[in-house]
Parts: sequence; C-alpha cells; structure tokens
Amino acid sequence: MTPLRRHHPLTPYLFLAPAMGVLGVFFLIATLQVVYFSLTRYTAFQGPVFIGLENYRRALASERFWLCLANSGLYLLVTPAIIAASLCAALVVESLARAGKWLRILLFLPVVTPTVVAALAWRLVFNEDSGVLNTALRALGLPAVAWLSAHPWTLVSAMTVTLWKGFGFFMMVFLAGLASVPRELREAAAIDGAGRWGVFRSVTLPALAPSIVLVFVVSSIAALKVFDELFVMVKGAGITNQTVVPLLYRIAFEEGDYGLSCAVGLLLFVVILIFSLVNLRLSRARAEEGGGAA
Amino acid sequence: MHGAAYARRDVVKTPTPLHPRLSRRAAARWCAAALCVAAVVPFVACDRARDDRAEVEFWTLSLSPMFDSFVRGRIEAFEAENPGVRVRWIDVPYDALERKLIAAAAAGRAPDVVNMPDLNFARFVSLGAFRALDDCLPGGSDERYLPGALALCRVRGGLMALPWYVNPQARIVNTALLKKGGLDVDSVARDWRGLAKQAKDFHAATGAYLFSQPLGEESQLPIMLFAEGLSPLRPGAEGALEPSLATPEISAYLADFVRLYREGALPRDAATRGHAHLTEMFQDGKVAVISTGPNFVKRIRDVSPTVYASTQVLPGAVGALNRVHLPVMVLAVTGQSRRPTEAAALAWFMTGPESQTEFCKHAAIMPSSTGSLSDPFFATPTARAGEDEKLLQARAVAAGTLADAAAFTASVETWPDLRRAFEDEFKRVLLDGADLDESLRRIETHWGSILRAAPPVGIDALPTREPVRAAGEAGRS
Repeated sequence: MTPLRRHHPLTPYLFLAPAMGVLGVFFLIATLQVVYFSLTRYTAFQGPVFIGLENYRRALASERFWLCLANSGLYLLVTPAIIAASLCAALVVESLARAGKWLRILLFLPVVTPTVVAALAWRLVFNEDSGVLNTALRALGLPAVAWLSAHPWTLVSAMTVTLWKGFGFFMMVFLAGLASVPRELREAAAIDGAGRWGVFRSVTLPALAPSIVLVFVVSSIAALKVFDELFVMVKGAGITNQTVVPLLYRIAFEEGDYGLSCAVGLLLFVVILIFSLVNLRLSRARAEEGGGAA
Repeated sequence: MHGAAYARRDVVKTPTPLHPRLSRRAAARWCAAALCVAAVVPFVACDRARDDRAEVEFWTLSLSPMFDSFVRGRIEAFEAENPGVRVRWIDVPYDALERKLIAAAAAGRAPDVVNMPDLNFARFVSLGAFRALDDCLPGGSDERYLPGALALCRVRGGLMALPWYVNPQARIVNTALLKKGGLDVDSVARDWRGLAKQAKDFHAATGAYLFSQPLGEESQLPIMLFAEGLSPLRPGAEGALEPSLATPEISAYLADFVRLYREGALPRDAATRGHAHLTEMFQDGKVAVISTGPNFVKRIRDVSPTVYASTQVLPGAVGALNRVHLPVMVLAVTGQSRRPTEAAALAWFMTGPESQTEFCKHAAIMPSSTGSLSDPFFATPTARAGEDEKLLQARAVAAGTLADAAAFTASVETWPDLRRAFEDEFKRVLLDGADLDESLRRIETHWGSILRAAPPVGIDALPTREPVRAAGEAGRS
C-alpha cells in the first residue's frame, strides 16, 4: 500500500492564492478604498483630502438621504409580492405535466430580459397620456394615475418591473424546494383527510421554509439595491421618487462628489447588513422553534 | 502491425508534421513571416513616434457630423499656425458631457480643452475642473469678447474659460397650430406672462399646448425669474449672496405656471423632462411655440417636413426686462491638461474672430467675439448653399436679437447646486401637489445653507440687466 505523501504546509494556501488574489484586488482593496474615500473630500478632478466624518454628517443631515432611504424601505414591499407570485407560479408549474415545462420557460423569460429593455417597455404601459393602463382607467371613467411622475405611484410602477423581472428566478428556487418535499408526506396527509389547502399549509409550506428565507433575504437585498428600474422609468420625477442607489449615482456621477457618494454607499451597506442579520436571526430562531416542536 | 511499421518508417524518412495540416516547412514559412512583421513593426512605430508634436485633446458638444468640415478646417488652420501641436478632436453628445467628463477625469484622462454650456460650467469650476487662464493667454480678453459673455467666464475674479458662440433664444412657432387656436404670429404673446395667459384657452380649443418650458427637470424658471427682473438672489454682507425667493412677487409669478400645469394647459413633460421634450413635441405638432436656438429649424426641416412647412422663427420670448436670454458656450482648459499653454492657445484660436465668424456662417448662431460682429455678414445675413428662406429668417432673428439679449445665467460656483435644490422642490409642487409658498420657503432655507457654505462671490456674479453687448457694472438685477 502506498503511504500517504506528506504535503508541504503551504500547499493549501498556494491553491487558495489565486482566488484570494482576485478577491483581494477586486473586493477587499476596493472596499477599503471606499471606506477611505468616504472620509475624504474627493472629486473627479481633485484627489482625496482627509476630512474625517464630515461626509457622514452631510449625508445624515440631508433630507434627500432620508427620503431616499424611506423609499428604499417602501420598496421592500416588493419582497412579499415576489414571494407570493413566485411560489404560486412554482405550484402551478409543478402541478402541470407537459405544459409545465413550457410554462416554466415562458415565466423565466423576463429574467433573461435586460432590465433596461424591460423598464423601457413598461414605461410605454405606464405612460401617463397614452399608456394602456391609463387608457383603461379612463375608459372605466376613473381618473388617470401619474405612474411615472408622482409619489408613490412612481415606486409602484418601478416595483412592478422588479416583480415582473424577478419572480421567474425565484420560481425556479421554489421549484427546486418543491422537488425536495417528500411525495409520501403529501400523500399521507391527503389520506389522513387533509384537503389541498391543508396539505399545502401543513406539509408543503413548512418544507419550503428554507427556500422562503433564501428568497426573502435575496429579494430584499436586491430591492434595497434597486437602480435600473428607477433610473430608466422615473428619472425625471425627482430625487424624492428615488431610492438610495440612484441617489448615490447622482452624487457620484452628476454632482461629481465621490467622497459623499462613498459615505452614502457605506451607510446603505450598514442598513443592508443590519437588515440581513436581523432577518437571519429571526429565521434561525423560527427554525429552532420548529425543530423543537418537531 | 504492418501499418504501424510502415508509419514508423515513414517518420524516419520525412520530418514529423507539427499538426496534421501544418508541415514543418509551412510552419517555418509562417515563422519567417512573423519575424518579418516583427522586424517591420518597430520602424512603423518609429515613424509614428517621429510625430513628436504635443497632442492636445479637444472635446466639443454635439457638433459632429453637421459641423465636421468647420471644426476640422479650424483645427488644420491651428496646427498650421502651431506646428508643434497636434489636435485630437472628440465630439461628445450633449447629454453625456457631464458623465463622460467626470469619468475621464476620474481616470486621469480629462481632455485639455472642453466645450461647455454656461449651465454646467459653474458646476465644474466648483469641482476644481478648470485652470485659470489669466496668465496663459496670448492677449487681453476684455476687448476681445462681448462683456456679458466674458462676465460669465469669470468666477471669483479668475478667468476660468473663454466665451465661444452664443445662441440667442428664438420663438419657433407652428403657424398652422396657432391658427387652430385662433392665434397668429402677431397675436401670440412674446412675453412669458402673456403666453401663460393665452395657454389655457388655446389648450381648450385645440387639445394641443400653446407652449412648454422645462419647469422641473433642467428648470428654466430661475433664468426666467432673472429675465423678469425678479432676482432670486440678493447681495448680502461682505460680498456674500443671500436667497430672496420667498417673496410675494416671485410666488405670484411662479403660481401662474403651477396653475397652468395643474390645469393641464402645460404638458406633463414640462415637469419631468428637460429641453429635449420641447423639440420632440414641436416636431410632433403637439406644441405651437417653443423657445430654443434658431438653429433648431434645420432639424425640423430634416425630420418633420410637414411641421416645417408651417414653421416660422420669431424673436425670443422675454420677461419684464424685455431681454432675450442668451445661453453662452464656453471653452475651458482642464486642470489635468498636460499642455496648458497649447490648450489655452487652441481655446484662444477657436474663440477668435476669424473662427467665430466662420462658424456663424455654418449655423444660425452668433459670435461672442467683438471682432466678428463688425463682419458685414452679421449686418445682412446671407443664406448658404442648401439653405432656404426659413433658415435665413433664423439667421436674421439671431442677428437681430443680439443687440438686446442678456445672459441670465449666474456666474456662481454654487449655481448648479441652487438650481438642483430648486428643481427637486419645484417638482414636488408640480407633481406631488406641495404648497408653492411652503416650498419656496424650503428652497430659500436650502439655498441659504448652500450659499453660506460657499466662499463669497460678490454681486458681480449675478446676471446683469444690460444687453450682453454692453453689460457693464451698472444695472445688476
């Protein structure tokens, strides 16, 4: 029997080095740079000059930051809608045999549509003068809605695009989750007299809990970082209709104030971090509760 | 086995091919060819390197392809006068200028000379983008340019750019649409207040809009306030400026536009889109009067012949001061320029009388150079090949307007911040139904904090009431 060869102690690190190098250059160093720039007065034309926490003071003192943060919070409402839509779609697709395959492809198409193209197409639907929606509302004798210019309709129209584009992806996550639910459990519940709703509520849904947590965390982080939909659809409607990332873009690339933009970005990072940690802790606690009960 | 033995013998007799389709001889040929290319490349490179002229990068705004021959011709003339300088010309779309310049500067590759509209200019001065030109010009600038245009380029005493062409605003009208609303070129109002009075009835009669102006995005209202003699800024202590927006006069003036917008007599795009919506709506026959540069008639001719047939160019819309607003294009030398002397020479050359006169012959614009104005061309504008009477009319309007036109853009570094604060709040009034007076108070507070944080600029930074040809110290708004 061949004896095991002794490895050099640095061998694992050698294998890790390329990945660490890439991460170091494109993630760690970049992150540290952002932290440093957030403490400086830095414009496109003048190098960074250290000013301490002044950018954070400016960001927190500005009304537009809080307005945009509040809008980011409102935008989170898209998350439950995405969960509901993608879960329903997954259940329908799973229940259909041959047609399910085609439906799955059809529902996944929006995911591969570029966001800018989708937003432009939806802009036509939401057009306040000649769009399909307002035309229908007028035909019903209802007043037209300022989908693209008045708060909070601007957020509603952008959220619709996010929902339309995102739910196909999360449907696939739920389909994978549904595949792991033991068929015997569902059959046993049905034999015990549980109706369709009962099977769903007592067997399928608890089994999908990990997928729901995953979809919730991922889609809410995506909602907090939304940019394209708002930038394309409601740019002219003013900063009070935007969320934090479009604000960050405006400060960096229209106002040229990189230092302030980095500070706003880091504040958003902190918000997302806290949100995700709370989310994970709550879901873990719930899972433990469920485990204890079981 | 036999086959294998044969193959082995064959290997001995002939060299092993490197690839089934590539013999050693062919490979050798390719290597020789590659060596030849490698040997020639340094000579070609040396030939390029022999062009050791200093390169100056020059960015213009939306001049290509319409004015390629003019720009290239002037660049050739400049290079002939300055044999040690080579100009690299890049034309940038108007809307992309800010982003492209910021991105280029962030990468340390800002151009040497850049063409800027007066609205963006102050923003970039405040970012430290430009180099003061006072010490690197070959001559004095005071006599060379129209005083009102030159005043715009001075920020806190430093000459941060040179004025290039000016674009007197004209009213471009669709006479057929006016007629539908019971108006004609004589009865349609020339001033903004008059237009606002006629707008509601016109909209009711035609379903189209009498006029539009960017009110929210890229708002023209601050400029219209200056034109109305209602300055939103007043001199404060020690050369500082203070906001004076929350006054009954300004509130009453703005209230007319807010009311019109809320009543639907102004298009929704007036709140959410900039200047582009004017030209698009005019081309589509949805608006009867727009205020823009006379050169726009060329575009109408090309893209909308039906509307062009009933288009006329009239002298620009005015406020109570009876002065047409005159946007000024400037040429600035960036702080990152590695060839500031050559860059300043190029800006000086392009803004000189000869270049400006020639440019004006290509487009319905006017020069900021005093030397150009003595050219007989401006006394009696003549049509060029391919131009019809409407384009000639546009030239005549541009030339006729200059005598009374005034530049109502403030030469204040914080002006873009003030405008942005105004736009954000005014959009709330138009789109979210916020109270106008309350919003004006909020803008005033915001402006106060912006102005207090900035170094004092003095009263000279405010636009003057005087025409741009004679703007002096007297008569500040």
